[in-house]
Amino acid sequence: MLFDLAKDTRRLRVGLFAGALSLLLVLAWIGLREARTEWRSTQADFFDLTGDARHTTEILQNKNCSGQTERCATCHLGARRRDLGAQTPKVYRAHPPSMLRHLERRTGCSTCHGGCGRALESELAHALPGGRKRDPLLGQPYIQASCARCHLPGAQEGMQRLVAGAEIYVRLGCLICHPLNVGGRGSWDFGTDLRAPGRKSLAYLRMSLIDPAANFPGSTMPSFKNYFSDNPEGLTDVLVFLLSLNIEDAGDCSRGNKTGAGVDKPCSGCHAGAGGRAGGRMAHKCVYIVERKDELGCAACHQHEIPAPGPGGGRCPVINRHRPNCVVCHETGEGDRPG
Amino acid sequence: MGKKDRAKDKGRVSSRRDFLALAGNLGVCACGLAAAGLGARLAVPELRDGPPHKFPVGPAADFVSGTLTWIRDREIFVVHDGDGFGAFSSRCTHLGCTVKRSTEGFYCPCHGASYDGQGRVMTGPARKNLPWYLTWVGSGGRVWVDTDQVVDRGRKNANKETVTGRDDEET
Amino acid sequence: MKGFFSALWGNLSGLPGNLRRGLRPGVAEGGNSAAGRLRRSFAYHLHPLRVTRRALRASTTLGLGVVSLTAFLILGVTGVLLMIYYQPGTSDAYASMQDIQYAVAMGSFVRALHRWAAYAMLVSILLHLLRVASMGAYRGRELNWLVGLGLGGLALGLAFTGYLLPWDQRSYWAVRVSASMLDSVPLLGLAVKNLMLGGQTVGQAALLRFYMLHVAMLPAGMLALIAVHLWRIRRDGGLAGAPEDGEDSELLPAWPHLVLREALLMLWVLVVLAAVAALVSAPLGAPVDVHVPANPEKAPWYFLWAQELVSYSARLGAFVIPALLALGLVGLPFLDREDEGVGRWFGTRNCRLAVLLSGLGAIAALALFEVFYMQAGPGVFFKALGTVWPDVVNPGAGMIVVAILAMLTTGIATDSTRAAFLSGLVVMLIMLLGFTLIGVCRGPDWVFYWPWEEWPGVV
Repeated sequence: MLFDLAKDTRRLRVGLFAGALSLLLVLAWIGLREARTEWRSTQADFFDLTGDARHTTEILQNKNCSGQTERCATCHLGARRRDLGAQTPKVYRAHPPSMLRHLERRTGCSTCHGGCGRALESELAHALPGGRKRDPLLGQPYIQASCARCHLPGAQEGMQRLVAGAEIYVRLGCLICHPLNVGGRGSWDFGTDLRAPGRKSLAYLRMSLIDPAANFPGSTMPSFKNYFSDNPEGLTDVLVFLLSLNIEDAGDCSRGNKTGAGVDKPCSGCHAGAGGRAGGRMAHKCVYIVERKDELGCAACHQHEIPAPGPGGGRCPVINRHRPNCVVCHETGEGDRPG
Repeated sequence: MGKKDRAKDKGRVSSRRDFLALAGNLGVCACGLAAAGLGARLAVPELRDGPPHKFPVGPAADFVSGTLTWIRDREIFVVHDGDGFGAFSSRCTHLGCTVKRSTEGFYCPCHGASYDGQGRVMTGPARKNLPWYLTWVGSGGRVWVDTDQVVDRGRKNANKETVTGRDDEET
Repeated sequence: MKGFFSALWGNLSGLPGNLRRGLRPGVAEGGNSAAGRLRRSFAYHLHPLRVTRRALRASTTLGLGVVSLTAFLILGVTGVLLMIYYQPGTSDAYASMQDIQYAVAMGSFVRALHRWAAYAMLVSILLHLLRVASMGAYRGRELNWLVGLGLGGLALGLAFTGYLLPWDQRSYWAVRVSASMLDSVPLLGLAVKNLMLGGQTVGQAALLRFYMLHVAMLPAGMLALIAVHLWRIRRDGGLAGAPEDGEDSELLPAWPHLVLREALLMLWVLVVLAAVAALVSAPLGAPVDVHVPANPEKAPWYFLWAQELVSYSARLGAFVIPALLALGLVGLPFLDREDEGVGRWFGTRNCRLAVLLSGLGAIAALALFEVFYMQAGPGVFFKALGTVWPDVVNPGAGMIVVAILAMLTTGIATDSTRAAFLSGLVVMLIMLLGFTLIGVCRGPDWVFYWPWEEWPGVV
C-alpha cells in the first residue's frame, strides 16, 4: 500500500480536495436552506400579493401582556387588512373584528390561541412548546376556554359556550366529585383535580366523559354517554369549560379583569380565588354539601360512604332541592332547569 | 560548603540552604492549598435555596375528614382522619419521582417501587419509607406542615397545643 | 527633515517585504520547506516529526484519537457560537434555546452539529479506550493511560453539564434523577451533590454552576489534558508496539504523510457530522415543569446503563459498579504488565479466543438474567427478596460475578494477565451495551417494550 510514497501523497491530496468539496456542498446546502425558510417565502409571497415594494424579509415580533415573545405577525401579515379579497390564502386572512380589540391591548395571539409564539415554522408554532401539532391551535368554539384566563365566565360577548359549559358542570353534579376549591385534589378521595396543569387533548377529555373506563380502568366515574348523545352541543360546551380549567392564568394580562362581567353578586363566599377575591377562575366551594350530608340525607339513596352521581347525571334530588341556593350567585336568567 | 559536604550528611537537612529551600517549597505549597481551599469554600453554597420548609397548605375546612389530598406545589400528601392532620412526602425515596396512587397505596412510575397506604415501602428499588412530617393546625385555622421535622409514620396532630415551641403563625 | 520623509517613504514601500519577514517564525532553521516550518512551529512539541510506516496504516489505530480531537474542536467552535445567544437563567434559558432553534440564522444547524459532535466524541473516546486496551498499549505508559481516563471522565462531565442547559423537561428530569443517584454514594455523595447543585434542588444555582463548568472549567481541563496526552505520546516513543525491523519500521517524515492523513480524517469527520446535523436536528422538549415528571423519565443515552442498574439497586448502580469500573480501568496498566503482544490486536491467539468466548458468554448470561428478572416481574422479585437482598441479587451484580469468573477462568487457562483482564473488559462492555439497549426500550412506568411495540398513552 505504501510502496510508492509519492502516489500515496497524491492520493491523500485528492482525498482532501474531495473532502473540501463535499464540505462546501454541505455548507452551501445549509446556506440555501436558510435563505429559503418557510417564513421568508411566506412573507415574500405576501409582498407580491399586496404589491408591496419591500424586498427584505424580517422577523416581526412583539411581547404580549404576559411577557411572552410572539412572532405570529411574521407570517400572519393580513390580520388587520380588511381589503384583501375572499380568495386570500388562509394565512393572510383578516382576523374576525370582534376580538381585534384584544390585539390593541397587547393581549397578543398565543394568549387566546395557544401555540408556541417563538417558533417560525408553522408545524411548530401551531403546537405547544416542545410538540408538533400535538395540541392544535385553539379556534372557535374551543378558543372560548382561553377567555377564562382573564375573565370570570359571565355574560360577556364571546364566551357563551364557556358559560354554558360551566352551568352543565354544576347541573350534572360534576362539582360533587371534582370540586374546584383551593385545597387541591378534591374533598372525596377519588375525583381528579381537574385543574391539574398540562393540557389534555380534546380527544382525551371527550373520552373521559363518554367512556371513562377507557382512560381509567377500574374507576368509579360514571359515563355520561347517554346524556350527551341527546345533547352534542352540550358536550362541546363542557369540553370548552374543562379546557379552561387547564389553561394557566395569564399573569399580567388578567389585571384589571378581576370582577368579571355578568356575575355581580358578592362572590368570594363561594369563589375561592387567591386571597378570597373572585379572580379569573371559577373556583367553587361546595364543601357545604359535604358537611351537611347527614341533614341532606345522602344515605337515603347512596348506600356507601362515598356517593357518586348516577349515570346520565343530574338525578341527585338533593342538588335539585337546593337549586334555589345556586341561583343566589348564578343568575343567568334562564329559569329553573329540569332535574 | 560544597556539594561533597552535603553528601556526607545524607538523610539530614543540615545546611541552611537546604532548610530554606524546603521551607520555601512548603510555603508555596501551603499558599496554593490555602488558595484552593478558599476557592472551594466559595463554591459551597451559603444560602439555602428552594421553597420554605414550613408552609401552610390551606384552610382546615378544605380537608374533609377521611380524605387524602395531594399538594402538588409542595410534593406532599395531606391526610385528615379522626386523629387529626398528618402529612407525608410524595417523593419516592429511590430517586425522587412523584408517586401515584394505587389500590394498595402508592407506586412510583419511574422504577416500580410501591408503598402501602401509610407510605411504608413494600417492593421496588426504594428502601426507605415515605417520611412523615410534622403537621398542625395554626391559630388562623390553616393546616401547616414542616418538612424539616420528620416524625413517626402515621403521626397526626389535631391542634396546636400538642406542638411545643411553635410561635403563632400567620394571620 | 528630508531624512524623515524619505525614511517614512522607505518604510511604507518596504511594508510587504517587512511583513513577510517579520511574521516568519524565527531563524530559518530547517529550511523553508513545510517540514522545516513544522519543526519551528508551536506544534513542534506536540506533533511528532517522524513516524514509522506502521503508524501510518489505518488499521493500527483506526484514527480514533484524531476523530475524538476533531469532535472536540467542532464542539468548541459550535459551542462558542451558541454562547452568543444562550442565556443561562431559569427564566431565559428555554426561551433562548427556542430562539436559537427557530429564529437565529443557521441556529438549529449549529445546535444540531454541537449535539451530534458530542455524541460522536463520547463514542470515539470509548472506542479509543477499547483499542488501546485490546492492544495492551498502556504497557509502560501508565501516566498517559491515566491522563486518557481523565479525559474520558471530563468528556462525560461535559456531556452531563451540557445536557441541562436547554432547561426543558428531558434535561431537567434527567439531571434531577442523576443528581439523586449521588445520595447513594457514601461519605462524599451528599457533599458533592450540594456543591454541584449549589443547594438541595436543581434550580438557578445549579444551572449557573453547570454552565460555568460546561463552558469554562471543564474545557480548560480538557485542553490542558489533551496537550499532556499528545506530548506524552512523543515522550513515550511514539505509538506502542513499534516494530524493530522490517518495512514497517521505516521512519517517514510526518509532513506530508501523517499530517495529510490527519487533515483528511478531520475533514471527513466534519463533513459527515455536518451532513448528519443538516438532516437531523436536535430535539427540544416541553418547557420545564418541576412538579410533573416526564413519564418515562430517562437519563441521556450515555447514562442509561447507569439508570438501568440503579433501577435494580441505587447503591449498586450509582456507587458500587461505577467504582469497580473506575478502579479496574485505573488499575489496568498496574495489574497487567505483560510485554508480549503489545501493539497487536488482542495480543496472542489465546487471548483472542478467550475474549471471544467471554463475549459470547456475557451475552448469554445477560440475556438469561434479564429474561428471568422480567419474567419474575420486578414487583415479585423485590417482594421475594425483601429490602436488602435486591442490592446483591440482580442482573447488574450478576454481570459483575460473570466478569470475575471470566477473568479467573481465562487467567488460569491462558496464564496471561492480558487475556484475563481483556476478558473482564469485554464482559463489562457487553454489560454496558446491553443495559443501554434495554434502557432505550423502557417505556412509561419503566416497563420494557420491544422496539416494535407501541407505548401506551400516559395519563
